[in-house]
Amino acid sequence: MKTELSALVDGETESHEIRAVLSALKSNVDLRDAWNQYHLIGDVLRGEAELDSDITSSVMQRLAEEPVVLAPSALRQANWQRPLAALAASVAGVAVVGWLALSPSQPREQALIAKTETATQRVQPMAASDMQEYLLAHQANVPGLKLQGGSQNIRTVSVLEGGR
Amino acid sequence: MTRFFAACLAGSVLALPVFAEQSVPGEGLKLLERIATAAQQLNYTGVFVYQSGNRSETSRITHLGDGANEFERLEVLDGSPREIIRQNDEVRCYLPENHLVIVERRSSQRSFPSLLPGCLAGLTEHYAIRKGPTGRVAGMESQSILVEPKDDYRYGHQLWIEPKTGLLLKAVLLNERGEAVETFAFTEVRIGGRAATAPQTPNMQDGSWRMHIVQSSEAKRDDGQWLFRNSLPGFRRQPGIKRQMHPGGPEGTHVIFSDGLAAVSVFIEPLPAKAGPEPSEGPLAIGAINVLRRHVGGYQLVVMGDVPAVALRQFAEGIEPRGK
Repeated sequence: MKTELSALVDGETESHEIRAVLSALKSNVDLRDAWNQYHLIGDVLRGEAELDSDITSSVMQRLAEEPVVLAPSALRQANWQRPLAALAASVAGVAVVGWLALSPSQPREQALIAKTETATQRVQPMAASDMQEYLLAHQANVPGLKLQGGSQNIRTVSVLEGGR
Repeated sequence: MTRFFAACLAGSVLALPVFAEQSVPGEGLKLLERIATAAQQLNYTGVFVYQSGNRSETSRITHLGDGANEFERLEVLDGSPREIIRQNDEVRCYLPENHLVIVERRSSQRSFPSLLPGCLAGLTEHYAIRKGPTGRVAGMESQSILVEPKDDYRYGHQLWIEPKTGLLLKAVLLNERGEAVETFAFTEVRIGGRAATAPQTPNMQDGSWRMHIVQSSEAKRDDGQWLFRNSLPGFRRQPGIKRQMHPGGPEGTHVIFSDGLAAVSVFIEPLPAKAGPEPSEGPLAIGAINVLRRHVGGYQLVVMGDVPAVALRQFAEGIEPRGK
């Protein structure tokens, strides 16, 4: 229901869906809290809210706790694309289930594919600059064919520029 | 009997055109070995562009090799000045803005070309290697070579080589969707000839530089305290190294798995008694290298490698202390 609520805040709800979301909003305290938060977040992002730093930090913390969608599809789609996206998603679901059912002898690949399908997970930033020593050690010690010779070491120092 | 021979003959004649279209077995591996040898033994100097995501950087590289000794200098030409100098098994990373030099000494048992024959023989099991079209790179006619993974556990490569010497002129790393993860390409390069003067090391005269030498030694026979439950197909485990990643820090273990082209490193370090909160675990992508970090039973694990993020996560989740 929170997804629908978010769509309502963004003005992206189909007219026939609005009534259902509003009645859920009336009966559910959690949803009302979420409603307030979404508006607050929107205000902060648009720079419209006059906030003291305490509220901002708590909002930013909430934002950090929100799961990040890693799926490549764009988060904001035009209204007409929504039913299509839902349809495509359900077809993909059926396809994956069908594929899994048809190939019982390949549990490893199943696992790999199943994980690819899990699109949402919590992502926290990790500083690339913490990794210099590890990268240097990794690249200096890897066995096997070094096709690029030393130029692959560019990764170790390219990190530093990106970390700024 | 004659009929049998005739049948065999007919069969082989029929089969011939098919074989002619495919590459000769072992040819792909030979091509890759040639590239690796050229990178190690040729003298060359040039400017290359490294591109990853929406970032690109230009660097100059000079490599001198006579088959016995190697010297190499890599200078980044954009942004803050950074430099990497390698002399045989010692790699020095100069970071003038941080006044820091990181020195990594590769343990002698791992030096090139100890290529672990078993490791390479498996290469063609997991990659299809074939010649592609010819084209021009850095003003030179070049031959492309396509290295396609046979599963989702590794990346693909598009390589362009200078056909006479075998030097790699351009390399593109491709993910499971065929998109470029990382591109490395010479814009100009001079192959052969002797360097007029030995390349200089950076000026460290102002005295405030810190030198961080990463101490490492071969681990005495794997202590076997860690289990790697989700092995990646074709990735063989190499001998572990004991090392101290940070000055004054605890000694950790570095274990490497490789399929002959791609490699995954696992760094295992004990956490200090008063460890802070668990650090963010990633994932982080540094060019083609994906990185994950997590805490397990009083240890920090850093897992990194040029393999797809999904494969790396699956591998990392299977690492646990023995006897848990």
